[in-house]
Amino acid sequence: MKPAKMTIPRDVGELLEHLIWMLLKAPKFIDKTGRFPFQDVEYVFRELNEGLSNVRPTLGEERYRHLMGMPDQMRALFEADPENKTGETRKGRDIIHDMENILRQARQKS
Amino acid sequence: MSAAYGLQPEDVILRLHRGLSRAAAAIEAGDLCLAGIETVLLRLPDLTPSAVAKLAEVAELEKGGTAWQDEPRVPAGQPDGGQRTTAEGAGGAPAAAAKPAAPVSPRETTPAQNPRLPLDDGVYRPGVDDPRVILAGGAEEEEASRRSNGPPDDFTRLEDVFPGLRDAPALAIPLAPIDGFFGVSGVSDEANLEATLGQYWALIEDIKRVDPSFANDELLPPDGIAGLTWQGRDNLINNLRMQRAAAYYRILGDVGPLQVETLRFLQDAVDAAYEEAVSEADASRLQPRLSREEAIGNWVDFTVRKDLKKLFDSFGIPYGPGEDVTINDRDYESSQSGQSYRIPDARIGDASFDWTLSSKTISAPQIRGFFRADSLPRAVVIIRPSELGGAYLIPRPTDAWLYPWL
Repeated sequence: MKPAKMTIPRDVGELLEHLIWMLLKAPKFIDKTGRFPFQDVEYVFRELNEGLSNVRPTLGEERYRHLMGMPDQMRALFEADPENKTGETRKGRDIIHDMENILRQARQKS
Repeated sequence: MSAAYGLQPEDVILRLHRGLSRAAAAIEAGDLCLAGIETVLLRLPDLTPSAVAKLAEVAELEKGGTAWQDEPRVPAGQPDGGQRTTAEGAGGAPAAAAKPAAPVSPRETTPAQNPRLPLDDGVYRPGVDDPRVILAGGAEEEEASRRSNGPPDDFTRLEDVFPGLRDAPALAIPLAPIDGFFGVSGVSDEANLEATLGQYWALIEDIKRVDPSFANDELLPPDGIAGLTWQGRDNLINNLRMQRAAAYYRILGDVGPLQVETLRFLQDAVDAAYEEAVSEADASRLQPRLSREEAIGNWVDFTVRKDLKKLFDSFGIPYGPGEDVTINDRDYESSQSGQSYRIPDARIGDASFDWTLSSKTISAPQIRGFFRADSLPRAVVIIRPSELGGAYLIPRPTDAWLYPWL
């Protein structure tokens, strides 16, 4: 099934929501309802990256570039620990928290 | 029932009978949309083509026919004497003589091995309901209060109201996922495939009737639906059901099917999220601020909200402030003193949805607030994890209940 459109965060609030959701669903991001067969790591990180692009003006260039470097690290950690046993997933989640803090700061200042 | 689904345990028959009676009452009352929502949670499997054929054979039982004269009855002198019964009795053929619904393997033709309909969380509640009322097949005491639109004593389970969509023949009997029926019963793959194919083509036909440009983009294995796992077949049917609901909403402006499909989805999503959250809590990976229950509840609330957005985006259903479909948006209430609002988890047309771990009733200020909104919801659907009791519906109470100062 090809979704009509992705659920891409449109503002900082929705981006935070997406990150918290990732925090809960990491490291595999598996859909257990069976309704989203297209959902996988690639799809989820695409939503995240496009969401970051959407809020680029709000973030400012420096903060945006800093944030854009984080998803790749996070993804590598999740993919290295798909069963959440080696501790890499936890490190990936720490990155989510770091991103969350940056986004909250940006929201306060905007 | 035997012709449609094979012989069932008596408790299942009683529950189903009760629900069907109420469905008929709801239809007669013209409350069709609400009936559609509630029908889904009865989890009545769709009829297979062979079951339809069997039912045609017993069409004499319909109103106006004469076969009722030979139906088994409770002997005179006994409680409920003269009423129809499913038991073998005077003047009637034994229930065991009824034919099973689907082509099943020989071992499944004996009564004890017929699949049990998944109605255990349904209508009948031991200690509360009286089966004799059901066997009588007539009006039930509870129907009167419901029809009067008075405030319910407590909440009403969706199964208790049980409607149909009279003006939308394709939706008159909402389809239930077939895995709940066949998946646990050991029915042959052939029967499962037959049921899936029947639903598949019926749904395609429904959708094309509403949207002639519809093209099914579902990628199937080389050998088609037969090559899918049973779970894959369920997902396929669920997808088409949602496509149909989206078509009815976008093209016809009919929100009813979308309410039904959203409810089905939400129950799945809440169950999945709850299972996940409990698993995480058991593994001490949740860090509750106040309590384990709060942490699990937050997990469910959050992930289901996100899932619902994803569902609507996937099927091109617009949602948000000002739309007929909202997710976690304000529902305003205008009054002489100004404007206030509530935020239901979701609202689809005239039904608000709230997913929660706790049981909520009309007594809760939050629920009464939902009803007082300018959108005038006809019902608030509460979705709890199946493990905690599942979904139920709170019908709109009278104004006197909502506005006691009037």
